[in-house]
Amino acid sequence: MAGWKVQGGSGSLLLNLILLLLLASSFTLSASDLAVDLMLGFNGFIKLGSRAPVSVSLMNSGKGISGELKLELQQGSLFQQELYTVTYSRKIELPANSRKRYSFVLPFESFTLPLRVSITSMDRKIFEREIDLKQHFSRDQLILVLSRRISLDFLKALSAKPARVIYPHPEYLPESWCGYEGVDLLVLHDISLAHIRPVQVRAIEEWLYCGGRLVITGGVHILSRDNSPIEELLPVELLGIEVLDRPGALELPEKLAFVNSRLISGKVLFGEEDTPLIVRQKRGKGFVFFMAFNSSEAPLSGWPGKIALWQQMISRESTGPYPDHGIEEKRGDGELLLTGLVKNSELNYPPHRVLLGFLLGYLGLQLLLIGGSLLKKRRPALKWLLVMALSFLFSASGYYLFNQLLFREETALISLAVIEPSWQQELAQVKGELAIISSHDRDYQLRIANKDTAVTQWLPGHKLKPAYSFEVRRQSDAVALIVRMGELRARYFRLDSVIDLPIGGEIQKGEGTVTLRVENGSSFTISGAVLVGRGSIFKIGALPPGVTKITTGPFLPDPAADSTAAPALSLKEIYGSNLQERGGLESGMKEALLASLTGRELADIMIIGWIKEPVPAIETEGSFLKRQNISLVYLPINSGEGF
Amino acid sequence: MKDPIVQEGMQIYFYLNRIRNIYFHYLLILAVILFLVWPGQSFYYYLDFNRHPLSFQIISIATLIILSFYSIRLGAQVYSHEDFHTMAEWLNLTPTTAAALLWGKIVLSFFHTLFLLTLSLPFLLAGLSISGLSISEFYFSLLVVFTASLTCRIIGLLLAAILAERSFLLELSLMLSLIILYIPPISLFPQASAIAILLNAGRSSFFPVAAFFSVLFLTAIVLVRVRFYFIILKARKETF
Repeated sequence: MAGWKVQGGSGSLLLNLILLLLLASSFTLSASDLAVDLMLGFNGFIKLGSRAPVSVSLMNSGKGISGELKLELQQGSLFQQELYTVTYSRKIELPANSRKRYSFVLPFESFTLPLRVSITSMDRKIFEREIDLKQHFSRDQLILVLSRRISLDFLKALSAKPARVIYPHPEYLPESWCGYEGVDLLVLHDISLAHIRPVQVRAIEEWLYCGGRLVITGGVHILSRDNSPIEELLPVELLGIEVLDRPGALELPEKLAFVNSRLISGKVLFGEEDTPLIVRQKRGKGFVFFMAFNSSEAPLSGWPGKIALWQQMISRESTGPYPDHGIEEKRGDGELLLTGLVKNSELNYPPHRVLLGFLLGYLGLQLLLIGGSLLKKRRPALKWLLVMALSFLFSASGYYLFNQLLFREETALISLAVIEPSWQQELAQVKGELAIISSHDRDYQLRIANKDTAVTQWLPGHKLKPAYSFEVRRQSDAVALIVRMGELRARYFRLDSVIDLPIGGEIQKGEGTVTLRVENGSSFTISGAVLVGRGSIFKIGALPPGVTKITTGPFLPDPAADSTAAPALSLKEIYGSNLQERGGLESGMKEALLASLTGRELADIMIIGWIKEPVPAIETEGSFLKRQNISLVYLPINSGEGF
Repeated sequence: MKDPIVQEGMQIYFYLNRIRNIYFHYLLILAVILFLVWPGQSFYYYLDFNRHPLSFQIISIATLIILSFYSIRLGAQVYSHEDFHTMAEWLNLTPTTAAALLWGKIVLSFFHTLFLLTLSLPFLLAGLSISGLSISEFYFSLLVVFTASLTCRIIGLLLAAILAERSFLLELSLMLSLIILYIPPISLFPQASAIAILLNAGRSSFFPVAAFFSVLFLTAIVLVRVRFYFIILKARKETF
């Protein structure tokens, strides 16, 4: 929407707010006693093919309302008239004369179909409206700037691709990490964020962990006492405003006011003696840049190095010595690991030769019993009973035999995940997959413990049908996934989340040996853990919660220094023989997870282990005859950081 | 079993070679069908298309058709006409009453149909084990096959009583009865078609339809039984 885009370089924040208010008022969808304001994306801007926040503000001037707020997105093929609906819902409680805001994060994959917003109270729809999405979409890169002034519009010219610079109000920032999915860069430009909520800060932290890029610039306002919420995001400890006299690092012939700070962690890219001026810190797969000065104000407004500096921070190539060892995420139509798993030969039906043996055995014995001379002409009732007993015996054994040979359940819930924590850091990115296999035409409600879990559906073979509809119901501390199987037999979902998984320790080099100390600070037991690197392997074993393990092994040769170092062990070599011996579904799942790592660029030193609990935890309503969960923990250790 | 009619039936059904051949043919045909419909594709192939193999549905329909074919002919004593006492002989030469004769025939038909169904259980359960159906759906399928087969059996008994000495007409009417019972309802009244119901095993509408179908057949059995009773009474009256 053109009116949402703020052009020009010298407006004020007040103007920005007025525009926002105008924007919001244009979306006021009044009902008799209920007014609904909608804020789509960032200032109405949604990046095509990514998730974006949606804020729904409700103003109730009548009696108290208790009901459900629903946002429905239709997906699928409009041309083929095969659409399915994804519903995002929340319970709402609006006392008389009250105002509340509800935040959602929706995946906007298409703009051809409208977003439907409805409110139901006491089984009656009290509000319903369709929002045309066409005017909100763009393919441009998205740079979010939280600033008091509109002073960073020049950034759009620095990006390699067409970009938009958006100045959202902090109040509308997403409360979930996945709301930032479409954001390429977030800039906190010398601003006091006194009113930003902790949940919003946490969302930024988690987004950084998943690969986000944040720039925090210094100035007077960042030192505000009320700015404590963003301390968590800073790689430095702020000390106060000081003045540098002609800083050589910046080749600036004038005095420069800057925010003096002390490095907590990260790398100082530019500094003046012990004073960090520009700091880069790696957070999971993402980066935080701290700039100790305001580059848009004098004397740096005309500084020639400004362009190069910002270009480096915007550019993905600026990671320098921090290669991203995160496992490449398969997106879009890529197959799931679970579909690979069910393709596994272990999960085939019993072969014809087994059936033939069973049939010949049964027919042969019945032939002997019925046609033979056994009990001839005497005690016919006994013969009846024997024939029937044989039949029952083969019935039971056949049912047991074929069930044992096959992965087949009337209802099964299978979940697997790749968990990527960071050495010495507390969060971990979880890329999960979930399969519901059922013959029953009924609703299944799965309660996923992490409320910020992003749920997307994978459609086998692009068979888009209304039957693929599902609902994601946001609860206070969880997200409920509601699916109806109908005539479908299997449904697959991706579950992306960020969890607390503090794992750390240290590696000490000794005389030809290396001692590894690993501490599992999480609530999960990591089993079968190994350290793999440079052709060597340390067995760590099980790591229960809160346990520290110390393992000593041979020295890991440095491939840069020792060209004769053994090639990296294949993961199959590590676990292969063990898995083949065990067989079964769990081994198949482990193989599928390991196979997903092969062929990708992995860290030269890494810890691999398994978590058997579902991550995040999944509670089910209704019984599943079979539940199987396994997660692969992949913990890359960069030699520059770990040891 | 003290009932002479049941005892006679047990002797004939177990020691007459022609009847024993029926068992073997029955088992052999079902075994071949199960082998042919056993899934050759992988598990994923079926999940990808959101379905399970139809092995159970096919084998249960095959059981229904074969069992109905043999039941209606066994009911009409096509295979063992000369080995059984005729109804007139039972009524005239023994102290057996018409009600006892009818009861004996019904009991014999019930247990023999159950016996034939039991013979096919290993095939049905093998099919079930890969078809993703619940055990309750299996029970309902068995109920449908059993009631339909028993109905065929009693229809055979009835037709044999009516057309005792006219073998060609009897054969024709047996076949026509089977065709009328199974073929037209598939398209005209699928809710009461045993074949359509078995094919839909696993779908949401399966259970109530199966229950409805079973009740329908049980009612038919009762009606046929009453009709048969009157025919016997008529035969007795004519004899004396």
